[in-house]
Amino acid sequence: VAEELDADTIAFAHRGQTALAAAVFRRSAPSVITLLAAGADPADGSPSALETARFFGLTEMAELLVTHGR
Amino acid sequence: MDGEARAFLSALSDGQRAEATRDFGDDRRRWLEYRPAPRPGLSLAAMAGDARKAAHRLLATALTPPAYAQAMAVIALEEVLDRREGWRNGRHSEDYRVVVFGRPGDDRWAWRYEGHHLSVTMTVVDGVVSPAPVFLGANPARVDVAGRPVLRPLAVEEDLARELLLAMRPEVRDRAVVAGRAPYDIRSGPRPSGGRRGPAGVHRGELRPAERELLDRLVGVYLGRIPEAVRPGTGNLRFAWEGPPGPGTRHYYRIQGDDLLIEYDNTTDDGNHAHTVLRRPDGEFGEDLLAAHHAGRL
Repeated sequence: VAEELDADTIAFAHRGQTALAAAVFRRSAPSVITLLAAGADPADGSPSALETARFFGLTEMAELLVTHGR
Repeated sequence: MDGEARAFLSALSDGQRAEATRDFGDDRRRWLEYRPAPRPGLSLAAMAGDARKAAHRLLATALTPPAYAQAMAVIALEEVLDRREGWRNGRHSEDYRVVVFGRPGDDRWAWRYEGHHLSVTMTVVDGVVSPAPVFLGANPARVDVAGRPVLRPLAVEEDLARELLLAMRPEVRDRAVVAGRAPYDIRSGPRPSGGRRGPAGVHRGELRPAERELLDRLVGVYLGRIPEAVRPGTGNLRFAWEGPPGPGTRHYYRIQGDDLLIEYDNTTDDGNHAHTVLRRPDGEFGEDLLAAHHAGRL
């Protein structure tokens, strides 16, 4: 996950978005699963990871958030 | 730029030089053709190694290192596309031409490096460089292995615009998205005049600071293609999006300013064929400089 904390992810964070939302935006399934396992909340941030998946129609990401999220 | 152009012409035989040069008044000086099509100039395929290197060095005077890398990737993709098409269309990475209008160092001269998905025209008037249009395209726009891109030369242009759209408040986004369906090509098309396009979308001043920063970064990516000293201004920026927001679908955006037109399209069904262009509605092909030159202001 640390490798994923690149400039883009940090920029996402500055805009109130989470690393999980950034991973969803990048459609990085391994990062999404790892962040969820570490306790990331799909509803955190604005827009949240869930909102990001819905906005871009990323159904596979939305499914990951639902199936791997708490 | 003058020196690299002269070095390029010096590396050619007399016959090649004749093919690579035109009068400044030639009507094909004001020209943008990013599709596979006949075009003026000498082909890379006809050049010996030293001339080809000189051609690339000339191109490098117009493009910053990242943009030069993008341009080289665009050229490489021509071979990838040919394979995807079953080698039927004879596309190849040497099918790019260089043409010089007038004589380098004269008070008016220009050059262009052009082929499929790459067109860079620089016009020099009294030593001042007019750096537009600059077109870069990619087909395929993305080639993956294990879900990660091997080649994706226009990734930043696509992703930053989508980040901007995501970051916008819904009411602002509603004004930015001006059509539900993307056009089939950049709206300015392969025409020698960029012009201005409507609807203009959302004004930079309507954006919150974080959104504004994203727009500025996106504009900076396009302006960052060309050397800092010749970049056009960025007053009165407006952003417009057409098509659905999701990746892997047809989508399009444009950014317009006082003398700036940026367009991006990705208009195949799978969203894997991208075009981008940086144009100057008032200064394309050095028109503003030539007007000033003729008026005695340069």
